[in-house]
Parts: sequence; structure tokens; C-alpha cells
Amino acid sequence: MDLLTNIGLYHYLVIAILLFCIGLYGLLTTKNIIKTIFALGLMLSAIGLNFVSFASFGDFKSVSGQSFQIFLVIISCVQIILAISFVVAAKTLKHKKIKTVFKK
Amino acid sequence: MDILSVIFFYIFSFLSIVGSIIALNSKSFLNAIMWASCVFVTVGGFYILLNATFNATLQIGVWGILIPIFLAISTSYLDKPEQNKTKFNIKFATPAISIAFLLIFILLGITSNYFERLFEVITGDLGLNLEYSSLAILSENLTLNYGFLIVLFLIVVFLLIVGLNLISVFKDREE
Repeated sequence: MDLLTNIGLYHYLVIAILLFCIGLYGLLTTKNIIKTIFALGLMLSAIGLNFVSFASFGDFKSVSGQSFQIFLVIISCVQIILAISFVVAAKTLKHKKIKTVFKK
Repeated sequence: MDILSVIFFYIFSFLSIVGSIIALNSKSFLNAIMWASCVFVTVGGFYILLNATFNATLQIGVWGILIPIFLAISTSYLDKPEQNKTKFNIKFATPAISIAFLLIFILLGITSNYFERLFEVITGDLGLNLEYSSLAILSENLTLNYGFLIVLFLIVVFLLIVGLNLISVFKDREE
């Protein structure tokens, strides 16, 4: 009963592992670009949850984990905007035009 | 408070795991994006439970709202055969998102006495507290505690979600 009521580090780690595994499953199985981006985001948010939970429950209580999570959010945001821009560019420009751009 | 935090933890964990599974297995893009935003908002709720409110603002702002909007825009650029023909029904995903937002709103209100501060602002408006005007208290809260910003932001988002739901219900009735 104490395991259910006293929420500690392990509870958050279990949730993070589950989210990471679901994200990995989605990344490996789906061919859809939107869903792969979402699966990547799920994995990154699980990593961020790990950082923050270790920062608040670990032996060395500091803000370093939270700052790592902020960097992670910024980097992942840039990465996903780049991915979306690639999708838009690939769909708006036709394949012939893209080939000519790369040849030049 | 301990019991409440435990309850919130289990609700957030249920919403995050179930929402992620539904988002990966849903047929329509927009439905998947809405469930994804629900999952990221619940992860922001975990950050609030871990006393990392700034990270929660980033998570909710960037992952819960900005990136789903970008993804929704990018779906319009995809070819027709890649898009699924199933009609997006907003009524399935929005209750979950609204529940997540409401839970975070209540959690913030319980943990940090934001409701009392809101009440102070309202009483300042009525002229009961003449020494500190309402704008002064509001600005003080905004500068000292960014959590107040989250509450205001969440109220706006929650009202938007409720409005979208109402519009969809009225459209269905007209049809």
C-alpha cells in the first residue's frame, strides 16, 4: 500500500520508461511522418521527465536536471521545425526540381 | 495535499500512456495531433508535481500547443492519397485535453494559493484595498511568480477548448 501512496523517484521512472517504449515502438512501426515526429517527441519528453525527476528526487538536489530539460526542449523544437520544413519543401517542390537543385 | 498529489499523478499517468497509444494508432492525422498535445500537456503536469513550473510552461507552450499547430499546418501540404479520408471528430480528443488542462489548473490553485491571489486582485478592483491597486498586485505576481501567468494562460486555453466543443456540437445539430 505504501508503494502506491508514497510516490517517489521510481514511479516517475516507470512512467518515463513506458513513454519511451511507446515512442520507440511508434518510431519503429509507423511510416507516417507526422506519427514518427510525435514518437520522437514522446521519447524526448520521457528523457526530460527522467532529468527533472532525478533533479528533484536524487541525492544531489540541484537545478541542473531542469536546465538540461530546457535545453532538450529547445533542441527538440528546432529539430521538429526543421523536419516539418523538409516535409513542406518536399511536397511543394516537385522531385525533378529538387534533383536539379542538388545537381547545381 | 499528499493524497491529492497521488491522485493527480495516477490521472496524469493514465492520460499520458493511454493518449500516446491512441495517438499512435489513430487513423486521422488531426485526431493523432490532438491526442499528442494531450500527452505533452500531461507531461507538463508531471513537471508541476515535481515543483518544476518553468519546465512545465515550456513543455505546455512548446510541445502542447506550438508543435501540434505546426504539425496540423504541415498536414495540409501532404498529398491527398497520404491523408486518410476519415472525418476528424473533435469531440473524442477535446474532453481529454480539457480534463488535463483543468487538472493542472486545479493543482496550481491548490498548491500555491493562486486562488487567494486572484481574490486579492478582484477585491482590489472593488476598491477594498486602496493601498495596492489591482494592477500593482497583478504585475507583482507576474514578475515574482510566473505560475500566475500559467493560470491565466490555462484559463484562456480551457475556454477555447470549450468553445470549440460547443461549435462542433452546434454544427452536428445543424447537420
